[in-house]
Amino acid sequence: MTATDFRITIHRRTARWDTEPVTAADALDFWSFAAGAANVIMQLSRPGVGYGVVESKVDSGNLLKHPWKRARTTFQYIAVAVLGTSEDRAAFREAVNTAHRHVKSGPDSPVRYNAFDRDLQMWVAACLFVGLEDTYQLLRGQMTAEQSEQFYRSAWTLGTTLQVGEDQWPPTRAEFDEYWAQACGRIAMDDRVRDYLLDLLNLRMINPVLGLPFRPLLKFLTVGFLAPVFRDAMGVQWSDFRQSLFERLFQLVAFANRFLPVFIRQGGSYVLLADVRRRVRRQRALV
Amino acid sequence: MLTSVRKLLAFEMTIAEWIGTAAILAVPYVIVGMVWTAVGGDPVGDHIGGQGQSRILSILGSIVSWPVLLVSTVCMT
Repeated sequence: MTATDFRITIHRRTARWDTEPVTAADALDFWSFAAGAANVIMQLSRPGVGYGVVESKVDSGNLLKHPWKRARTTFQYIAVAVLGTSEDRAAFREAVNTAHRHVKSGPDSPVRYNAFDRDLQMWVAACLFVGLEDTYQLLRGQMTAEQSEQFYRSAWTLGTTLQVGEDQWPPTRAEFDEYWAQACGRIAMDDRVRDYLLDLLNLRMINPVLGLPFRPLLKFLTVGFLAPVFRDAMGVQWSDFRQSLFERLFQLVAFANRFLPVFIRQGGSYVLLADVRRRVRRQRALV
Repeated sequence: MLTSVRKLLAFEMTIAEWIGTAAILAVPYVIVGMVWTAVGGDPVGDHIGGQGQSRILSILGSIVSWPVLLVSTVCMT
C-alpha cells in the first residue's frame, strides 16, 4: 500500500491563481457536494461507523428512510462546523448528542461501537476534511504548502464541534497524512454495510422518477472521488478513461466556478446556517 | 442597519466574479428584450424598419434598449 492508494490522484487540474491565505470556508462551493456520497462511503468503511449507521435505531436520521432530512442535517453540520460561531456549534453539538446517545452496539452487534467514541468521530472528521481538501483543490488548484497548513488547521472544527479534541488532530498537515494512512489500514467492509451503501449509490431511497436520471452521474462522481482502497472495499470499477473524463469535467467546472460570485457558490451553506439559527431561536428540533 | 450597509459596501468580488454576475443578469434582460422585439412591443412607431444591415441593427437595438423603448411607448400612448 502506498499513499496513492489512500487518496485520489489527479493528473490534470485547474491552475492555482493566488497564494493568499485560505480557510476551509473557501471549500463550501456547492459543487463540493458532488463528493457527498463518496464521503459517506469513506466514513462507513470503518466498521464501527458502518455498523453504527446501519444498525442505528434513530429512524429520523436514517439516510435511507428520511434522505432529504438526513441531507439537510448533514450539510447543516458542515455549515455550522466551518462557518458557525461557537454558540452555533454548541447548540448543534447538543442536538447531535441527543441522537448519538441511542447509537451504541447491542449484544447481537458484530462489532462494538458507540457514537461518542472519539476515535470513530476523528475518523469521520478526517473523511470530511479529505473530502473538502479534494474538492477545493479540484475547483481552485493545488494549494501551496503554507495554504495547505492554513486550510488544514481551519478544518479542525469538523471534529471539535462534537467530541473530538484538538489534541486528536495530528498537529501538522504532513502528520495528518501519516494518521490517514494508518487509519485506512482499519478499513473493512462486509456485505451488510456494502449493501446499505449500494442502496445509497443506486438512489433507492428517493422517488425513482427523480432518482433514475441521476444514478449514472452520481455513480461516476462517487467512484471518482473514492481512493483505490475504498473502491476495492466497495467492489466498484474505475478506468483510466473515466479518470480522464473526471479530470476534464472538473477542469470545466472549475473554470465556470471562477466566474460565480460567492453568494451563488456558497449561498446554500449560508441559508442552511440561517435555518439552524432560526431553529435555535424558535426552539425547534435541529436534527 | 448601518453595520449591514457597511458590510455590503465593503464586500469584495474578483473581476471574474463581476463578469459572471453580469452574464447571469444579462440572460433574463436579453430574453425580455427578445420577447419585446418579437411581439412588436412598440405599437406606436415602427421601430424595426429598414432593410438588410440597418434592419439587423434596429432589431439588436430593440433587444438591448427595451427598457427605454418601454418607457417611450408608455409615455406616448
